Amino acid sequence: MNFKTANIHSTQDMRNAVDERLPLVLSTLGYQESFILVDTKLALGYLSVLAAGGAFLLEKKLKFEEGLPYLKLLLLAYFILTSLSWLYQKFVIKNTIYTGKKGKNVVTIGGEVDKYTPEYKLTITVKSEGRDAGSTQEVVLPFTSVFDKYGNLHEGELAAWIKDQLELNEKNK
Amino acid sequence: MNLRQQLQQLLTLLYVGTSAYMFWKGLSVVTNSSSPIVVVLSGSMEPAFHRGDVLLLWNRNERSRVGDVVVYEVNQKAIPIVHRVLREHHNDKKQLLLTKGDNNPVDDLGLYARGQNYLNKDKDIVGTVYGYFPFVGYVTILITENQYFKYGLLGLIALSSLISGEE
Repeated sequence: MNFKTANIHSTQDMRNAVDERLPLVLSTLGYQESFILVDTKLALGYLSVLAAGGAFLLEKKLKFEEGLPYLKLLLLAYFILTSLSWLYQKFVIKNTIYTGKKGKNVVTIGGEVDKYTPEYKLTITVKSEGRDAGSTQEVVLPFTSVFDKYGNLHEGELAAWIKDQLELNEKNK
Repeated sequence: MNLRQQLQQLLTLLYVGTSAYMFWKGLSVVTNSSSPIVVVLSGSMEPAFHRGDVLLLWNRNERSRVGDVVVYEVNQKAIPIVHRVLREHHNDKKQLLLTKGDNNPVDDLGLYARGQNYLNKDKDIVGTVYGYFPFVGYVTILITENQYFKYGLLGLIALSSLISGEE
């Protein structure tokens, strides 16, 4: 079996490892990942890069005075796109690390770590399609329960743990 | 490693370059100058400015005055020149300038393009100096003029990126 390994002295590193394998783990539980959030962010980002590229081309092709009106437009576009991307990250994506769907259930998982505490604070929200109010639970995943002393991430245990949390969530509805 | 993650990392890298570039472009729109910050490359304006001084330019003034230090570009010469306005003539439509370096024995007629006897304020002037940081720009002079310094610096950057590694 191919383990994802992380430095067990770095909470950030373990967090990254969990983030990377979480979609895989949830797909084994039958969830299908949704990429809308990250794709929107990427689109905003690359559009702003296009605007900057346009400004660069402008500098190569036209004299400063001739290109000035276009430059102003491109600058405005760049400013708006990067601001939107920043706002999107801050108010829409927040700390979301996974969004996925299984049947009618939409699950969203957000996560935060404290640098000096080896725990992953996860916020799991399950919503049923068509109904507005979902149920949210805040749970703590101790990194020691899914990483061994060599820093190998045991996906089976992570999957079992997530499954338990999702079932708990289902009960609490 | 998936594609989205790699795109995200590339984007972070691109942001470093594009944000600096667009900030520079924004500054050039605000000052109305194609090159709002220049580094002095010659000693022709000593003792006012020395090699390596960084100059801040402003190009929204309607007319230059005698005594202003201006930066100008002559057709077909890539390097902008920083000199002082010695004489000016103007009417409602345009202004013509003659410039000279404080440390030069003669005025700039010999530096202008063939057949050009004056600078046109609207066309040739990149900006008027309104502020400066002494010596800060010397790094750029070292990088362009000293290849050992250039490769040394590149080596240092490479080394530091190797040592610092990932978080």
